[in-house]
Amino acid sequence: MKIDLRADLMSQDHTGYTWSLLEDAPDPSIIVPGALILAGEEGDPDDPVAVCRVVELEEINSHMVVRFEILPGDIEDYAVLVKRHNVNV
Amino acid sequence: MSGRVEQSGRLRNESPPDNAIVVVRGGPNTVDKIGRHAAKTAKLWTYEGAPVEGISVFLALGDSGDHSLDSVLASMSTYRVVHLATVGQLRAHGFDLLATGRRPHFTLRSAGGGTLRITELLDVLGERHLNPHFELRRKS
Repeated sequence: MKIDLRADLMSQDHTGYTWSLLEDAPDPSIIVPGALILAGEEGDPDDPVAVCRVVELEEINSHMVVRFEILPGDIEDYAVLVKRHNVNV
Repeated sequence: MSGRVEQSGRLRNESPPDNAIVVVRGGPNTVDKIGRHAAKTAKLWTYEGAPVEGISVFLALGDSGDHSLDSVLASMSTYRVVHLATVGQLRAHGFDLLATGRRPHFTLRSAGGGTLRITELLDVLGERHLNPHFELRRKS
């Protein structure tokens, strides 16, 4: 599964949000506050992956930190919702 | 533009007991991934002036409630396998824990800082354990 942001889903900072770096996004243009993304690790079916919502970005030490929250459910659950409501994407 | 963020003023005033259980991520290529995440933390954080080469872990700090082992494993339901050790085991092998983030989150590092000794860490952590909440998440 191709992910939008490579991240350690256990990482947490003082805000309580999970974080990663924008440089770990294959397409940084989609990593904006409010965006729903797929974050985690890839390369093996056992790698952790989750649907997440980007909360904010902050530059620290010349790196852009991406803070996000992990949403409940798997991406398949969201696909079912989209399909049931005939949402065009 | 800012430099690394000093963590000493942000830590919780908390030293976990030796018998608390530390839950560490498992899964494929654990050595590589732990190394990558430790390096990422070091890019952003310092503690007492030195970069923090550490990884995020969660601790089971009680027998029931939000900080029980079951609750911690539930919060890590995206991980199929995990490693478990006690705080005392880690301390005995030269690791320590900074009370970063929100309870029960901590940052695990080599005691006193410096390079995270990943191979030794995995030796202490021992065998992998299946996370029962991984399958529950998939079935829900």
